[in-house]
Amino acid sequence: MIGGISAASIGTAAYIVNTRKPGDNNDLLIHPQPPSISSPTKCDNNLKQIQKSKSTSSIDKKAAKLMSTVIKPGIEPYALTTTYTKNHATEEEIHEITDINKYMDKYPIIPLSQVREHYSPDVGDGTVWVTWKGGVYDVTQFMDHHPGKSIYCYSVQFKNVTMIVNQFRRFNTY
Amino acid sequence: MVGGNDLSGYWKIYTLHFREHIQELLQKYRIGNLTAEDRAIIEAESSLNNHYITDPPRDPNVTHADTITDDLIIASLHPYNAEPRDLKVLSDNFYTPNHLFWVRNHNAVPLIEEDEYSLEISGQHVNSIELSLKDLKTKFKKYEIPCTIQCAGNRQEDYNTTDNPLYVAPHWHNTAIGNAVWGGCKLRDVLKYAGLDVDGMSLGTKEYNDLNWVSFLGYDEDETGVQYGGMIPIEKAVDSWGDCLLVYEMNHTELPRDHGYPIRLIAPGHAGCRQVKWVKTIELLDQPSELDSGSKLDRHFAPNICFDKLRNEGHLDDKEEEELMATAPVIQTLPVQSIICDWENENDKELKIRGVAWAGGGKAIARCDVSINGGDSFKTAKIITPIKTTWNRNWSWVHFECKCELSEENKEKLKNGEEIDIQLVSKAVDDNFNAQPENMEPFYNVLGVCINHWKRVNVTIKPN
Repeated sequence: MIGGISAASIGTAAYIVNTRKPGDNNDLLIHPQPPSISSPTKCDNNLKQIQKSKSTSSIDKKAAKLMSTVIKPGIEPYALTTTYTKNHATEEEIHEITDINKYMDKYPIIPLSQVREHYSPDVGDGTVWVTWKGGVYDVTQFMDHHPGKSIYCYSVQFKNVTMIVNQFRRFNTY
Repeated sequence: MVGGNDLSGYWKIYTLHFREHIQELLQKYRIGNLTAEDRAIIEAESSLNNHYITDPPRDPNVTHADTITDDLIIASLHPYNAEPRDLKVLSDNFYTPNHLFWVRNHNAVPLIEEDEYSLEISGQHVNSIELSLKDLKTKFKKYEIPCTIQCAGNRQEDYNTTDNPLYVAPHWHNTAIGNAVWGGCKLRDVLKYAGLDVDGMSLGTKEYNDLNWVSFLGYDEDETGVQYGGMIPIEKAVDSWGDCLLVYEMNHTELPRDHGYPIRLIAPGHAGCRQVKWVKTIELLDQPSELDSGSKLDRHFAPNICFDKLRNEGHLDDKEEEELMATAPVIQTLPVQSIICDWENENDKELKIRGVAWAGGGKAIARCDVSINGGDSFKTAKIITPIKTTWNRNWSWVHFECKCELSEENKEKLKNGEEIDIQLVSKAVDDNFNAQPENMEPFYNVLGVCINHWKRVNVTIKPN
């Protein structure tokens, strides 16, 4: 689909596919090519390094030490990668692009019952946790800056149900 | 809702999270792992009712955010955000066709029956009244006004660089801008009907110190019932030359559902985020409304404010951050903008470059300059518009067209059958003589709004 757009729509001119500098805009008519999943990304390289380091004997001790450390949310356990793919991907693709479980060893196992207790800033210690692909995340600090803030915790039961009812009522009357 | 729960059900709908830098960001908040058994249990439980079933039918080929169809780039499906793929849509049509006009929804499109629609008006110095769609169409004179609307975040993708990823949606490329003829009644006429002395206010014979804002809330709401809202200053609303409309027509046809059927506010010259769709309530206020979505999404920060600081990673305490948020101005009008849309090689000697230019707040485009050498030298383009230029009521964009002669060196190259690589630049100047800034960095702002640095396009020209 993307390949077909190119030459026909822009007449005599064609694009240079070059490295992107801040402020440059060279994706005028043609959307950039989605990332190739088969090619190794920086994440893959990181993963390889981690796998490599796992072969050393110290890894178990290191992991045990990390698990006993309370990791505060908001503090980076590692440097963010600096190469980002530009485009969105499907759910399957994003797992291949970013293997989020490569840092798994750094964290303790948390029982499900404990996760369920952290559903609202108004209960318990006031932290809100979510899970994603087997990881547990404390998103309390992040909530205020998320466009879907209210989805995190507000109106746990009642409003949600009325919303769904209203939605169907409207849908049915159409 | 999602607190203490798994994200998988939510992100099945909100697929715009499947982006590398967003996945990486989440890792900063990781505190633990689940066992495989627990993971299976919590994932099986996670589901979010698809709130978007009321949306108009969408292209079934859209599988993920940023999907390109024949006509559009779908920045996200839930909520629906789309911009025309081909920039020539802008430069070929003075009035953008409805089906190619960009759409920025914040929530699901509400399903509103014509005879069920009701508009509530209340607040300072007006009687609380309700109006039906029929009232709006029959009780007030109809006006038709050509007006360009641009999203406050147009060109956001320019900001998303590898060393400074952008965490706000919807990552527009270039075309979250369009021009249409809007038909409807004047907001000031409706406020007058509700009892506000708009004529006295306009003439200066009546002054209200406790009336400063007009707040609009839409019928659209998120899963928890939070509505989209926007505010405009009272001066704009009552100004007879401000041309604020409550519209029910777009390009002489019924307002499409994605654009706010049955009633949308058009506040000409203001940013797209102010033009509230599916208007449900109008409230006249002394103080800014807390329900104004723009107070969260559309503030302009200094370049040194980065997402980490906003995220309060030990840099600021809650109070400081709150103050910072509150002092950053909320966007109403947008700065001068120009976008190169099309170019042609004419006989290997000249390039014909076309595009659109627009300035917020009704300012006219005084000039638009075009460069074919990366901004080393400029040539003034011809401004093309079917509309008479006025003072501060220039709501529509203008087209520009410029024939630039290639350098002798490049002409020689093309003559010899070689390709040439050049950078096209456009730079518009409004009639306040404010010009587009050369570079992005000094005006970088973390929420990605008011993006108007020189439009640069790298092109390879082939011999004719």
